[in-house]
Amino acid sequence: MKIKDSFSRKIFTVFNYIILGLLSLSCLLPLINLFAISFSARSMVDANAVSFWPKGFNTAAYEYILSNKQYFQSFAITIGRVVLGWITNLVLIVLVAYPLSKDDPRIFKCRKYYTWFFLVTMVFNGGLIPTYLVVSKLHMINSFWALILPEALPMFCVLITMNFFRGLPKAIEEAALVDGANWFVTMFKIYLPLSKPSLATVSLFVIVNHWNSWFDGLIYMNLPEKYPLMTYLQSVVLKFDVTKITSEQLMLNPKLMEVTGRGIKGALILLCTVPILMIYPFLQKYFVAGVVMGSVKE
Amino acid sequence: MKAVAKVKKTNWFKKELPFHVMLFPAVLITFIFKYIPFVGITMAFEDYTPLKGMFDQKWVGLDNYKYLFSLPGFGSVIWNTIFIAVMKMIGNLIFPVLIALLLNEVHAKRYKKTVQTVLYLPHFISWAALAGIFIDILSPSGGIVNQLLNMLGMKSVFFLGDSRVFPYTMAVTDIWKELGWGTIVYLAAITGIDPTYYEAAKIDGATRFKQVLHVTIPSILPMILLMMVLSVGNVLQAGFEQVFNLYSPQVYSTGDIIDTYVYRIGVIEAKFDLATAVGLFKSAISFVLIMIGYKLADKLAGYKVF
Amino acid sequence: MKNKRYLALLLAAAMTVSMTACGSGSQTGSTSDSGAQGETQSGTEDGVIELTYMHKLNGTEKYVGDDDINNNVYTRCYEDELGIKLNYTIAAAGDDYTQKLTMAIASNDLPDLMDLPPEEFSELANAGMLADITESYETYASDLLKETIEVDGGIQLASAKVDGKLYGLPQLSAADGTCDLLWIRTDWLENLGLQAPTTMDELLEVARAFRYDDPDGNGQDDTWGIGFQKDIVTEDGASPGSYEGFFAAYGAYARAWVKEDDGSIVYSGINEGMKDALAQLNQMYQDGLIDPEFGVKDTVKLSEDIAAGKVGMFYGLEGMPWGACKSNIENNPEADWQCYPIVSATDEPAKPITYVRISRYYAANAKCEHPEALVKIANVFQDKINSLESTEETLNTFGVDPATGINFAEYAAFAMDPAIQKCNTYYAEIKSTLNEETTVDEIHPEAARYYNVIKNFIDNGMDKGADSLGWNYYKFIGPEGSWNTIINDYKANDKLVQSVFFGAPTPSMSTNLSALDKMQAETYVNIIMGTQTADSFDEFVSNWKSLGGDQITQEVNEWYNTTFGDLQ
Repeated sequence: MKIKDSFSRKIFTVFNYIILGLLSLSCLLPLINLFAISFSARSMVDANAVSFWPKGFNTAAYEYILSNKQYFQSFAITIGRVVLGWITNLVLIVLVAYPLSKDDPRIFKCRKYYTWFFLVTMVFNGGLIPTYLVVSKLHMINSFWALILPEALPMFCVLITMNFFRGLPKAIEEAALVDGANWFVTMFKIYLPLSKPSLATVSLFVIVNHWNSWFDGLIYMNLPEKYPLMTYLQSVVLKFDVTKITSEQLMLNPKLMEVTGRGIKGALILLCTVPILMIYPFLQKYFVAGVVMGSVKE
Repeated sequence: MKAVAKVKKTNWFKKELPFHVMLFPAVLITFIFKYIPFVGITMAFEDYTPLKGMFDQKWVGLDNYKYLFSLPGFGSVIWNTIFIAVMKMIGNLIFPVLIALLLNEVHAKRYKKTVQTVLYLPHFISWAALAGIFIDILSPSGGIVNQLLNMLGMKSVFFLGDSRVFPYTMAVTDIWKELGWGTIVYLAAITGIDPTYYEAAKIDGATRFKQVLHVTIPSILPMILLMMVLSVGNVLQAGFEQVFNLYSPQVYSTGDIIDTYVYRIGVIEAKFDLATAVGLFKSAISFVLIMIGYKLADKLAGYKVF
Repeated sequence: MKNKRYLALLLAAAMTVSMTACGSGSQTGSTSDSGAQGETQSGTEDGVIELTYMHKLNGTEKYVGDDDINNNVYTRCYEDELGIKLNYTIAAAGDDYTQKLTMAIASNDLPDLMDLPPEEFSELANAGMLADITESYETYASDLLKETIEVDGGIQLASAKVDGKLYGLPQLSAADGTCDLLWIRTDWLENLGLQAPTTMDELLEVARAFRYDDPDGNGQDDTWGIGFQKDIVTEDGASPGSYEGFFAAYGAYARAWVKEDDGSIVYSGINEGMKDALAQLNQMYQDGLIDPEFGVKDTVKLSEDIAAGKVGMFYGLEGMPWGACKSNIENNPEADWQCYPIVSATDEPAKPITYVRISRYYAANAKCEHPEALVKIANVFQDKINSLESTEETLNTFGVDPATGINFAEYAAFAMDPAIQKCNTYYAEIKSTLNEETTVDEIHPEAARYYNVIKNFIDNGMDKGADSLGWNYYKFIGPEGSWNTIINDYKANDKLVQSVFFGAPTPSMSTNLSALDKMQAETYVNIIMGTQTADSFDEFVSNWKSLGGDQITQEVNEWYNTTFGDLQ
């Protein structure tokens, strides 16, 4: 294996490392830039003097956001939907993936019909308004459940889990069935313990999805105080200058002089994304395996 | 005879009953939130007035479609959608393969792992937040990207406000976001290549580059092909969340896509009938394309999606 | 935004002075509140009526302590004083509000009281889904509310009527403040030994000098002759860098419906004078007087250029001292700005256009049992804010909180914003006080506040570097302020022209107008940038007419005649 690398090979290796390094930087620098801006003094930001390190370090932007209770309200709602949504999603995914993984028609005759029943919804839907009408008639407007139930069955995750179940050896299950176990028992006692990697992957996907969703919050929540974090970020912060500070306010509170709209927005973006970015590196080996198993889409 | 059949049927049902029980909650929820709203599709063929009840609407057949296609702007909406979506499809196919090949040539394990982790990062950021980031860094006055361009002696580019540039901005930012994520499947495919192929190539005196060309690429070709046919269904998926958060009226001419158009006419202008008609049109075409993709996947790669 | 920014500020300032504490309950401007209070007979057992409400937010609201949208100084006030418990069930800002309104209409789930954009208001009113509040208005509206709403002779109120019945209260718009002024860097004029222009030819001369004669004396070729931003066809007063003031020099306007001498109403965007105006802009573009990137610069970007001292002249609204010009002064205390009347390119004097823009109507659901609550709630803001009798204390409670800088006025359910209406009065009051014809105690507390800042600025030697806020007020409503020009030039000489259409979009507008606007904007930009010849304007005019413009014109005339038939 240790053959001497040719000269051109060495050149290539160097270039390769540089290219990949630059690409990695392209993923990190925008966040670092934002980080630097959010901690910099107004004068520096206005002069476009901030690149990747805070200049005139201060925390005024963060104080400004954290003094507004909307951030905490939205944070709590996001945590709530992530937890409830994760449990709901996971239960339903397993309950659907398991029967559908029985692709032997002798075992489960109706599988075909169920599969179609679910798959059709991946492409066709009644549209925003009719779905809204259903949610509204169920009195779920402004409630958590509007963010959870309409998308309670993420088909992509079902497919991953289903393919994983299919790949598990059938012998143990058959033996258990012969011993008189029923399908529920085999699912809980045999399949679930073996599916930890797949469930970890799916969990990551649904948690990220719940954390990052903003459109449903925008549609189903009628008051800003009910918005989850991303909806708050999307609809209030990006579109409106909540940071617009009048000179009256400045006279009353000179500390506001230190913040800029860019700094506040940057700080809020970081406060909304960093929590989720802390999670995925630890689950990397699981989701890599999961994506490969369910490599159906993207 | 009759009795026997009955017994058989009961057995069969009894045997499968647990499956039906397991599926019941999901079926119920799907029925309520996915199937009941299907009734709304009728709006596509009505002159729908929200103030009247759901069942008192005037049926107009295909008039909504006739009207849509007579609109001067509708053609460009479809074109924008296809243009942006196809650019993304091609980019999302080629670049991850390239990066996967490059990553495979990295032998320093920690460096490789770090690069991978960092490249996955944008995939985990919501478009709501990414939009905020891009609006800041791509700003023509003071955005870090334009500062860089200016340092290199180039003029500032209004990436999000110039209608000539906007579609490319969409494609590039999306490809960037999914770049690392897309490599996962190819890296896995490369890992799965039988090492003896490389040994054989080495004995034949193939250079590392030749090995890539003659062993690695052919080995992952089925995977590339599979990804390609599966992405056929995305021809009309230009990325609502991305475009919605980044576009503005000044780039409607090149940046307005079917999904944003549906949102605006449906939810902002309250023309539910037209919005539904467009949505149905898109769903129908997407459905056909996805089916073609899945059939091709089955035929070409022997891959059954479900 | 733009315009609303200083409006809000002004309002905030207004808050800081007048109004009585909510709990004290002694209203001076009207007696109807106390009268109304006695009549909450049909409420719940404790006499409190609960009503749901749908409200469009500014997007800038902030709450302190345990306050929130359903529990704040205004909602508590409505409950304590009027016995009305307001429950906000829908609230959002911008397009998000439109989306929620659409959904509410679609699901037939409209609340008791509503805050409606003109189009939805007219739709719902015509469908009989809104309550007739003619009687309620007559009975419960305080004198002050009536005075405020009908200050224009009832024109705006008339737009809220269908078949003579009143279905809502319009959010007032004050036309006077929407006309363009010509803003010029006077320090540059002095540096170059020039006079403020009074004709288009002189304006071009100044623009040329500002562009090429290094007006800031820094030896660099870094200034533009005149600043324009990208939105040409907009009713929203894109300022700074507006075009209407420039077009007016040629007797044309981009977005106005103008009443002709024969009584008919025509669209001025296709006016023949526009062709000359665009040709002139094209010439200026070719001569390098205009930033070639104007097509991608919005008002914010242009403001940055102004603040950075790159622009010495632009058309803009009365509130400009609040924004870019003030930043410019702060960056460079040598800089100074003054507004001038717009100039004419012909023998006729230039007439600035004004727009009435009713952004919303407040209405009650036809199913609501207490439509009169709408009027009662509308009274509150008037009695608190607009009344002449107010204390500093109330101000802090209902206006800007000195501790946090939060503007409580933003919580008001119906804020009939009187700010600009009052500018006329305040200008006069401040002027007479400066001339020592009146004393501070005699004038409106809000005017007094402005007066004090201006007086302080003058007494301290008009040091704009040290007191940019003083400069700001001085150039706004002081002796050299924008209101001085509007009142003593525009209004005194009867120059203002009003765009007469301000109703909900007509049927043809709903279907065709966005395409027509797009065509108009593209034609204008292309002519200015020289990608189309000025002669292609004629082609645009005939296209505009045939693609629905004629139909729209007809509908606008019909609207005018039915809406204002009675008033004439």
